[in-house]
Amino acid sequence: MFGSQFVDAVDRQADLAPDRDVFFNSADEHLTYAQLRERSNALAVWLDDPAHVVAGAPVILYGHKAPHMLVGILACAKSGHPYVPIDTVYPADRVSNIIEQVGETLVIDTSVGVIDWESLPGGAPRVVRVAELDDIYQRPVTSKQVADLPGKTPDDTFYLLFTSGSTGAPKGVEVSSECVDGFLEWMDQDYAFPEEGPRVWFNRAAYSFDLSVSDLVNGPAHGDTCFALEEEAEASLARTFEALGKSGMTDWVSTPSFLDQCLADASFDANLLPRLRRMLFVGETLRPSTVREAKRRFPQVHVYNGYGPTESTDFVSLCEITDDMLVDDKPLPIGYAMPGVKLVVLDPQTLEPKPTGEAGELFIVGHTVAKGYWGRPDLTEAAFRSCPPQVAKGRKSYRTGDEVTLSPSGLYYFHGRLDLQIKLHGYRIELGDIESCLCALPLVQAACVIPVWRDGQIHHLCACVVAADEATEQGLALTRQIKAQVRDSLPTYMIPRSFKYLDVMPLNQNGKADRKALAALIGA
Amino acid sequence: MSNIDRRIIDLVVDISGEDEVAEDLDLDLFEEEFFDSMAAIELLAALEDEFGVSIAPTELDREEMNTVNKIIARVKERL
Repeated sequence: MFGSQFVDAVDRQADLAPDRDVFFNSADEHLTYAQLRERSNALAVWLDDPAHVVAGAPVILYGHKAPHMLVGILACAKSGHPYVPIDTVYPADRVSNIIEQVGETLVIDTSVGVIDWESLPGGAPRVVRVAELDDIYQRPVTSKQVADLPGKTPDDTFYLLFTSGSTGAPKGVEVSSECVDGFLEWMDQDYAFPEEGPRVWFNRAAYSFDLSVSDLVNGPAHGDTCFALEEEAEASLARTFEALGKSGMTDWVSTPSFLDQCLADASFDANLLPRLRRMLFVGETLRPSTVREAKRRFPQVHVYNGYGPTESTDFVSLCEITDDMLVDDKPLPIGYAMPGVKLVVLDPQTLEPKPTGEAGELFIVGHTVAKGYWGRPDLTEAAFRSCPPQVAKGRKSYRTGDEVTLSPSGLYYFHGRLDLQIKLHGYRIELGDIESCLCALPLVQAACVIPVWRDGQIHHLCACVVAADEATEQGLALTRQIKAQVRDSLPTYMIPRSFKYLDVMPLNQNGKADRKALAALIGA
Repeated sequence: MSNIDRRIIDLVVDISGEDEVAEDLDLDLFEEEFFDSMAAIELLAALEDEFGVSIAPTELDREEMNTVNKIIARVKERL
């Protein structure tokens, strides 16, 4: 009806299980399937009015884990607008930059006054707040108005997700409706357990991270329930556990880092989550020690590992981690390729195919590959058009920058990045993004950010800085000044933890900061 | 400064990767982004290894262990 299999599947649930929760959170806010359909219809009709927002323009959904966010997502899809999720973790300057990049837009703010929209550096956008949303939900809409909503064609952008960019500004990945439906079809085949009845999914990741698509698409499309933590419950592990204990969760979805945090407390086990059946991890390297401990605490649980960039809709490979994969400390596989999508390993220089068992750069070819980067044809060309034509064969393709190996069994293994993008506790970060923000400060003459590794993963980031003449402080006092100044432009997880001050930046033969020398210097 | 204080400071320096945190023992490690929740859990594990002091992550709120001086006090309470 709306041209999106996902949206139509969610709406059908309003007939099948109108009173079941599609979403609830630790603040005891609930949304039923009937409410989701009614409210998203009313909001979609309102958004379809060009007096409120230009037809087809992206709509920014600002906030954390509230029922309004889910209503907004469905309403945008029904009214033909891409949605742009922005979590409250993003500071004002970054939000302002995203709004400027999006251009013609409307902001739906589901938070409680986290951002002062009037004082954004790029000027105040048109903002709809919660009180106005509640009014819009009450407006009567006719079935004809709903039937006349534009909905989506397969190539229409479903969401625009902004991720760290290498030059100091985030870049928007344009994911089409076809991508979302393609992902859902795969999950229907390989990750559905209809004999179990309705599931409760952990809607852990912020909506601005594509990991959230796993549960947000799967849960509502199948009549399941999504459970999320509101900020209050995230403030301490004790409160997190209290909320988890009441959730009835069957399906855990998170980064491995978050599970590691929970496992640090002995009370995190099957007594806390007695209904838990599966754990799904995406977003960073999953270590055998983490899985072994998870299986010990939750003997009834099946553990799955997945892999995929935002540029190809959540994840593109998946497998269950079986006991035989855990016998020694060898790296775990990132899964088998999803049906219909080709994962091709090429030599990053010659773009010639690599034989099975040899490491190379991963190219993704298929229908879940995104359309490109919003308003950035240069970046789109480099990442989405560089797959050799004899490999892409006219299909969409994406060059990941990830080094992988295909094993004879069809399982893929991840080795690392071929560029300066990193994953820190599951967050995708371009080191150049942080360096640009640091170098923009009058206090900083030159900066280079080095990941510090421990136990096979990135432990923290260290900024190597040459202070400018303007800097009157040094040491801790200067570090505190610099951190205070980047807080407006960088989310907390991107602020380097430690700082090392240098008189001059060591340079390599190409005249760029010598990252190897710096890593040796700080013992990274 | 006692030996215990010194060892705890060394642990915080090691986990934060920042020598300078030893300069101000009342610095809020979380507010100033020298610690995050992963670092806090790492510290609790390190305190158990170093002093045999067992503090469960669910036991204390962040405000009770957000400075070096508070961490030292919590450890001494339990030794």
